[in-house]
Amino acid sequence: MGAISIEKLDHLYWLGRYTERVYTTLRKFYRIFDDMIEAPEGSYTYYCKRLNIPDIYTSNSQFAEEYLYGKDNPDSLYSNMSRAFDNAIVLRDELSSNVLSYMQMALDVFESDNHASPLLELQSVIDYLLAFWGCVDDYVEDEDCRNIMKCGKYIERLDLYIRLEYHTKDIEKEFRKLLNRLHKTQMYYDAAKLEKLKDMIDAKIHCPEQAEGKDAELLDYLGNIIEVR
Amino acid sequence: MKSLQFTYRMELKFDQPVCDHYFALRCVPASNDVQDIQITSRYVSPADSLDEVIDGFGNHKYVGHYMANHMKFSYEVEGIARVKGMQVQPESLHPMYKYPTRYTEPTEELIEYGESLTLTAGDNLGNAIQIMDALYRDFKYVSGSTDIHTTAGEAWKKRMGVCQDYAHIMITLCRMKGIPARYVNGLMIGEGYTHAWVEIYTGEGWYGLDPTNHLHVDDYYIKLAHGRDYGDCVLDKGLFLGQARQTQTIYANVEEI
Amino acid sequence: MNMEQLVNHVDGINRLLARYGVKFGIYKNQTFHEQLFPFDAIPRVISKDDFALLERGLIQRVDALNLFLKDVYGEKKIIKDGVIPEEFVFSSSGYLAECEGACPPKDIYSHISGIDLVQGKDGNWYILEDNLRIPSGASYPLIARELERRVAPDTFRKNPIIDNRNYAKMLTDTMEYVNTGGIRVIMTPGRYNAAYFEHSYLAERTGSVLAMCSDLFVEKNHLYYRDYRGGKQKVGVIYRRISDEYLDPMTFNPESLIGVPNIMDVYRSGNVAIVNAPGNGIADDKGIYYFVPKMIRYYLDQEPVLRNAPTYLPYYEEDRKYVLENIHKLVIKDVAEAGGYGVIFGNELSKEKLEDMKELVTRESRRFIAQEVIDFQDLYIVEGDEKVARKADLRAFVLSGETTKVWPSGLTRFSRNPDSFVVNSSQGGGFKDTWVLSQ
Repeated sequence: MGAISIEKLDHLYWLGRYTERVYTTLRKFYRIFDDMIEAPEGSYTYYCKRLNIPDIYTSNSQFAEEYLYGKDNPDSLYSNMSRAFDNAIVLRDELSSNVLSYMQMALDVFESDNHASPLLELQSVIDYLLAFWGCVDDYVEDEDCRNIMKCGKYIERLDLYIRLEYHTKDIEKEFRKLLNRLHKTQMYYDAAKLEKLKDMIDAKIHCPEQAEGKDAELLDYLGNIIEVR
Repeated sequence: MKSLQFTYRMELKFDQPVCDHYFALRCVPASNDVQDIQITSRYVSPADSLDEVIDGFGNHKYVGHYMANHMKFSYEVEGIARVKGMQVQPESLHPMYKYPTRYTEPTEELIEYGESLTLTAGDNLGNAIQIMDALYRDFKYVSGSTDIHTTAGEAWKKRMGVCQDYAHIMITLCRMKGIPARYVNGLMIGEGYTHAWVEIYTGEGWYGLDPTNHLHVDDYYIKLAHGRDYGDCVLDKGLFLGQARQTQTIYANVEEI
Repeated sequence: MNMEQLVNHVDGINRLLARYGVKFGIYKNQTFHEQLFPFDAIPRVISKDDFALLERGLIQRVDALNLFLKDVYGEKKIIKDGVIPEEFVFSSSGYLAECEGACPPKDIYSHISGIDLVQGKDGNWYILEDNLRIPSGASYPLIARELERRVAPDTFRKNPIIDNRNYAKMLTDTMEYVNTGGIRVIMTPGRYNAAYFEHSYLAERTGSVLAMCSDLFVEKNHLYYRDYRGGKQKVGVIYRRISDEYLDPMTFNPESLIGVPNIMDVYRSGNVAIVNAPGNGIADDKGIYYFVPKMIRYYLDQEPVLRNAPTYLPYYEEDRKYVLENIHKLVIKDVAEAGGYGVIFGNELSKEKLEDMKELVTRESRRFIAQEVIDFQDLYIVEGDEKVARKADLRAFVLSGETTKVWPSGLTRFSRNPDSFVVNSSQGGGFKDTWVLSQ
């Protein structure tokens, strides 16, 4: 407690990112899963392209199984949940066993063999992740710790919102949350890139035609604000 | 008694920058009953932190660290030693010098050789000299024939080696015959490299013998460090981050003044 | 005892243990697996009187062992006085010459001792081995008790069970007593270590910083923890959960990729307390075990309260004679081997092998010890719907700080296999809570 090493900083930041990745993509998946009931085969291709992940899938139903549970698929939600857990488990002293237990339980859902009705089962992942964040606010005593995690969380959320074409109003809102946390931490961040990012998000809101096609650039700035390993 | 002026210099060059460099150096001779040491100059560069400590065997050790990138690391010790060799340094015996170690584990061949030697002197020193005589006859100095990892048993198999092997084999044989013995790193008169020899326990204290040269350790030797075997008293150890290839240059010079 | 509520809820407790990630790791075919450590609800119950005896015996034993370590790395009186033959010390791999002359703060070498015992059918307790390096296991009964109380409050209301949750406080006090003025650190080799759960849990419970080796560094002969802003904090006490050989690559194994370079010099200079001290392996060596009762008499001038399992040293002629005559019913242990290796049961050997063994014991008498097989009391476990008896041992934890204290609990491990004497967790066994009664 109280002393955050470079190693821990790294784990806190990536814990924030991976947890958010599982949470937001899982929520998005609810929509995709629903669409796929009527949609033609291969309707996940656009999603893969937007997320910039390789389209290794063969059918809608295979996508549903593999993208959620694929053990050897680095882009599956299971893999991302494992990474979140890997970062969390080395932080027991900072997080507390209480907080950590929600990560454990979320991972256990992915590891159970019950895939019969994925959305029914994975609802508890969403519940556990929300409980995790609530518990973080209550039990993680070190403020810096919480802020670092939340910086990771909002950077990931912005990244996904931009890729998945969320409304610019939402993007702006999340960006403000990121700014708020970033200013509270003592992490080193690239102020010039942050400024640039701010301008581009402003442009996205006020002159959307100008900002068109610049998402890649935007994501690049976003990914490089904070230097962690 | 002789007065010797000595210099020991080590330079490490890296072909790419390295960083986070820890070092531990046992290159500073200490005064004892045989040698009186006066250090005139010493430096370690680069170093953020440097401390002088004593290790478990009683050797002086410089330890420290350098964080930033560097391509070169060097240190130098200069001084004057007043040496009066060929005498016993009185000291109580630490039992650890009686038992085999990794480098001095007796192999079957060494046991056999040891059994073939009949020691007749009746005292530790005399018997150790007889072992040294035998080794001079039965083991050959061949530069480059072994390396720092070679054990007494491995060198003995080849019947050739360098000063480190002479010392390890002699220590193995001495301990087998009930004579406590230890490994010594140091400098010898002239220009060149570091040298290794042994000290045997006479019953009252330690006495130096140089099996490589078949000599008693006289006024022309300066001891840097000792231990149960080579592994206990490596002159310099380093640990750094980086993929660099390193080249080491050692300059050692001892002259009479 | 009334423990129905507890036993009925064993599944619930195991579910909670899973929730909190109470696991241990094992390597199978070079890959790392984490396993739940199965909990059996029927506790080992130690009466007040029995515990008083254990307490006296364990404190006495650990005090003697600490004095022995100070002596071995210092004056060596016990050797000079001929109580222990020097070759048992100086040719043992547990003896580290690099620790000669080091003075650990307050002269404590073994701060946390894990003493393994069994109770014989005759009711006597026997010491099986001393673990003075990095004994693990306290965290399991510690967290289990928390959950047991949550699930079965009635059981604890109705029975006079001493609360064992003071372990964190005991450990903190032990560390603070030797603290040289700095933060408290628990150093773990990382999450792929068998006892990683314990490292992280104890860090949480004691409010210590859980550090990886790379978070620590030596500067000006002091140990520091580096924070991410480039600042540093002095470390006053380090509870390291890596073994001696990996502790300092500049002193021990140079191939070690973990460890903190030059930490041994900081320790030797008295600038940091290392819990437990390096070099302790000499005191829990199988050969030295034989001499512990002699140590107690030598250093404390007391008769040992607790017995060793009857042990023979073929090194001594009288013992050798007994061993050779009775080898078929003895356990032969190679003193150089650890972790259950090099243990041979005489009654499992063929006639031919017995003769070979006799010859080996005669030729290399220093290498072996021989012990009587103890007929130990089984404990009941729940298997399916029935209660079955299984072999179990007890690891008692003794903490040495300002005074020496025995934790009123301990890790009871049992073997799942009815024929096995091995209570090793990696072989499918589980654990029980250990209750010490207050009346």
